[in-house]
Amino acid sequence: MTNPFAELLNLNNVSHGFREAGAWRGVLRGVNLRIHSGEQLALVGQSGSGKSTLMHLIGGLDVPLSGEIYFENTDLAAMGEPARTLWRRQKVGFIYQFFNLIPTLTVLENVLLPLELNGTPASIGRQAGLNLLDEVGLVDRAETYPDRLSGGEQQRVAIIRALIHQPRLVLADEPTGNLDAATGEQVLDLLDRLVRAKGHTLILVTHSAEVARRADRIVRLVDGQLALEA
Amino acid sequence: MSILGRANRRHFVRHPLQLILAILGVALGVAMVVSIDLAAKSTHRAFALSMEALTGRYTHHLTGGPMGIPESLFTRLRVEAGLRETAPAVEGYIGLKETTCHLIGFDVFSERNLRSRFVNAARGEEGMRLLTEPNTVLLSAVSAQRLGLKPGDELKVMIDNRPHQLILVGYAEGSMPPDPVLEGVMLADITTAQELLGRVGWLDRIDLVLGEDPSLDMKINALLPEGVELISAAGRQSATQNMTAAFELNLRAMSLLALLVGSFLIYNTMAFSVLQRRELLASLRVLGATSRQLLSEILWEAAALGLFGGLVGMGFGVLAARVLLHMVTRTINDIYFVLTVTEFMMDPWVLVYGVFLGMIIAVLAALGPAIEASLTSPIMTRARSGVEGSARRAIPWLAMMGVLALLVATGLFAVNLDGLVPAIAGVFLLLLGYGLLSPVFLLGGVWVLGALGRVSWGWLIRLAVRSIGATISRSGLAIAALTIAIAVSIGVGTMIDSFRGSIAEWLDQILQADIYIAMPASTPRLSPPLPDGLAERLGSIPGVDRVSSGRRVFVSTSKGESELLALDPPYLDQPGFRFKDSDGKDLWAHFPELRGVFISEPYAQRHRLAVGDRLVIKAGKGSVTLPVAGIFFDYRSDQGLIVIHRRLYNELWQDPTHTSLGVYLKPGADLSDVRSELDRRLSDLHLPLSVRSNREIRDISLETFERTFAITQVLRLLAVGVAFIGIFSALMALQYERRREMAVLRATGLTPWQTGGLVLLQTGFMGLMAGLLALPLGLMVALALVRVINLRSFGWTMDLSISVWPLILAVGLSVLAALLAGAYPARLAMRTSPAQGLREE
Ligand SMILES: Nc1ncnc2c1ncn2[C@@H]1O[C@H](COP(=O)(O)OP(=O)(O)OP(=O)(O)O)[C@@H](O)[C@H]1O
Ligand SMILES: [Mg+2]
Repeated sequence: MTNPFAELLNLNNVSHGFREAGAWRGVLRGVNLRIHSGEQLALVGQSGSGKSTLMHLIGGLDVPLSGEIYFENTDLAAMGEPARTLWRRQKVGFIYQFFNLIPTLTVLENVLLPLELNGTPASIGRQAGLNLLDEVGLVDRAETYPDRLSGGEQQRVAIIRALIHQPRLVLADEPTGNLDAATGEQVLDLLDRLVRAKGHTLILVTHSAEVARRADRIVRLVDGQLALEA
Repeated sequence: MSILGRANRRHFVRHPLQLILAILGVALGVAMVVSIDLAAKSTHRAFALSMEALTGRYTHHLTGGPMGIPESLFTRLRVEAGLRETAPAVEGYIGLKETTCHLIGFDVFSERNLRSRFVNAARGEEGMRLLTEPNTVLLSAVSAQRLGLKPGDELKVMIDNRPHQLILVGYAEGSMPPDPVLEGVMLADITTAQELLGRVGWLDRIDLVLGEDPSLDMKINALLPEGVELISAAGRQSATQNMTAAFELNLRAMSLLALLVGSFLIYNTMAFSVLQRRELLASLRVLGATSRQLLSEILWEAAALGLFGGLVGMGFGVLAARVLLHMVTRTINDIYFVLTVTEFMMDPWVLVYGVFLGMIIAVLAALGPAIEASLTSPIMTRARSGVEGSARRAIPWLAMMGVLALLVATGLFAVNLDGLVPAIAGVFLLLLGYGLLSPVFLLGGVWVLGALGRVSWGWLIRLAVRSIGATISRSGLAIAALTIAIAVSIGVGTMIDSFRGSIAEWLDQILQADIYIAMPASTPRLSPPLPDGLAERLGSIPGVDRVSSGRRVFVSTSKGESELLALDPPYLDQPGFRFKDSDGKDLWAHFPELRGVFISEPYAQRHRLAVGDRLVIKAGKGSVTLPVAGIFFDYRSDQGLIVIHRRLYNELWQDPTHTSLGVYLKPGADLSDVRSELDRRLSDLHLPLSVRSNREIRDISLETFERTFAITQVLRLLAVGVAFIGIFSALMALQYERRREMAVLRATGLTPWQTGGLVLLQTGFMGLMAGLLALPLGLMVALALVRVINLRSFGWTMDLSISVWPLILAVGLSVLAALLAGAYPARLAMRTSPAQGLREE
């Protein structure tokens, strides 16, 4: 078991931007953030403030232009692409606003994919997958393709998929942004329950103050920098 | 199968049409290569077998002389030189049912003592029957079976257009099992054959088995009459094989072209299948699939597609090869000699190589897109504009490579390198370079139309045109493929038209007489002489102005055995040839006094001769050295020929016979009157003469020309067909990607018809662009084919003639192909339900 007070993530002066039509546009301007293992963090900010960009950097999908991101004292940027991918598939689970299930895989196959990528044969993970699906009431849809599911159902599958391989870090980018309030509530409850039960660390991007309030801590992105919310 | 693999594999299950198109793309590419290769190999083998049947296992042959070899030489060789292992032969071609057989008259007694092909026939009882019974022949068992004939049957055959009755007494194999080498071979006793072929007293060949003794050569040479030559079997075989080398090379070039178009198609389909899955791949990357995993996934998949497509293509290829073989054989029979063996040969290597080719090209084609898809960061991969952004960034680089390729191609054409290979490479670079440049042209076209659209055209057109520019990674490829295919079609078509035009013009020039008379040649090399005094008999027909004569023989020269034509043109004011670098008036006017030769362009090209060079010819009275006085354009043979005046020929050979006569009418004389009188006078001779008006000869020649190029025409259509599938799959892929956009448009208020119209407008515009872009490229290809490829492979210069209609037609074809390819996607777009389209994300 990991030390609950150990520092999991350390963002040190992270800056990032994009080049568009030849001109640079800074999005993140020196972001500093420490996150402890097991912590639940809500990230808020205006649309276009750079929340998704930051999540991508934390998830190792991209590397910051300057600054460092340490995950358990390892600099993500220093890892190199292949190593970062291996790291990501073991340690990180992603959940998106749009559900990002693989349309060519059944619900169960979608859930088992991270296990397989991590070297666990599908036959072994199968029961765990079915159990999780059962927990969210979708076990009878295991062999269905995602496009037959409703948005809420898809998001529940996406959550299971993000958690099945026991990642240290779960990144959820507006997981309820696409759902009605009631369904969003259900999905968040599920996420909350599963994350807390396993002690995962969660970073959740949201526009809803109500949702943010569930978190241990709320940070706001303003002008490319983080500010702590009361 | 792993889940990761399944995720990718099912992409194709969900898009079966894409899968079918991808496989079809590989299959067609492979089929084209395999079929041409198989046909070429079969022809090659047919050729070798025909040669082997001819040459047997002798070490040397005697051939030559204007009339062939006098029979007496055979006896002298045996008696005076003491040669035992000698066998005489007379050969000719005869028609039996719908096939042509190779009639070989052989000496049963000589053959018995030699280990020849015919030893079994000679030793058996049927050999004796050939000797003792008149008009008896043996036929190869393979041919007999094919024609449903058995010993004892009467054969109705045509020799020199005259019917004959022969009796089949057995098989050429004797009592041995059927031998495919003998296919098409008919054997007769030498005396029978001489009578049938009108060659009494003459032989075509004496085959010899000579030991190592060098003095033997001297002894034989001393016995030989002028013009008859001793050559080794190997030499003879290679000389004839050289003949078809250019033809085979052309076929090979065709198969390379097929490969190019085929690989383009394969590249297209593979690139699309990867591009289409970018989102899927990105999701997998986010979940932690490594670049390498995805790369190998895609490459394995490409290999599997390639393998499957290759296998299907192999099947198509074998089927197509049979048709092609038929056409190729016919072409060879028309322009070179009769191939009696027509058996289809299955070369397993070609098949293995075809399938491998499919796999390798599929993998290579997928490599670029696969690497790109697996290397881009997962976030960038997700953005559609990212793809287009990098595609747009690639355009200048591609264009630069294109310009480079065009420069190298121009260089290859300009530096007159020897051989066909650099020329063919030049054509490929030309196509490739232009293809690489086509996205630039396309964007230019989009820009121009966009600018125009602002003025007056509807928003629908603007929408259609703009989205082509926005999806350049797909539309660019599709247009490049279509452009290349249409250009090849234009190029080859223009080349054939130019060729036909040059030949027609040439025929008009050389066919100056009104009626031509000759003995039909039953052997490839010898034209039988016409009866003496025929010219005088015809000259007295009312309405006839002059009668000219021609004598065609094969002679030995310092450049090897060559065809020589002796002419005495009656009118010296009108050159009978078109001369290179000279209007020929002067040359022609002094032709009768000329102590020199005219040579045809292919002859000059083949032997590197120029005006003023000297040629040594073995004549009846010994060798003479004659200067080349002029080079004329001539399309009758790619081996070339030498022309001298009849006076000089008579002086050198003392051979008064003619092989052809040309009858010139008086102005105002009626052709049909003269012809019927001529027919009446000739009918007394009871000879199988061929009498043809210049019109008929012209028509027959052009018909032969069309047959020769039938195969080219078929391949040309195939190339367009392949491109059609390419553009179809491109449009399907585009449509699939744009279904959301279409749904948004539908939801915004576009009617189904407008949606369909939008798609058709787009594809029509793409077709138009491809057609217009293909025009200059097509003409460049035509120029390269006419000025470089044909000149180097056959030695034929021809005038490039460009007609407007085929060009307009080509553009029309391009638009039509694109519209047809767009029809199904347009229907799909019309039926897109806005709700469904928007939901799928
Ligand atoms: N690939 C890219 N290229 C160029 N600009 C980008 C790219 N990705 C993001 N941006 C820009 O960076 C800024 C931050 O984008 P980001 O997606 O991080 O915002 P966000 O906070 O997640 O917004 P939202 O709440 O709407 O999801 C935006 O202005 C966006 O336009
Ligand atoms: Mg966002």
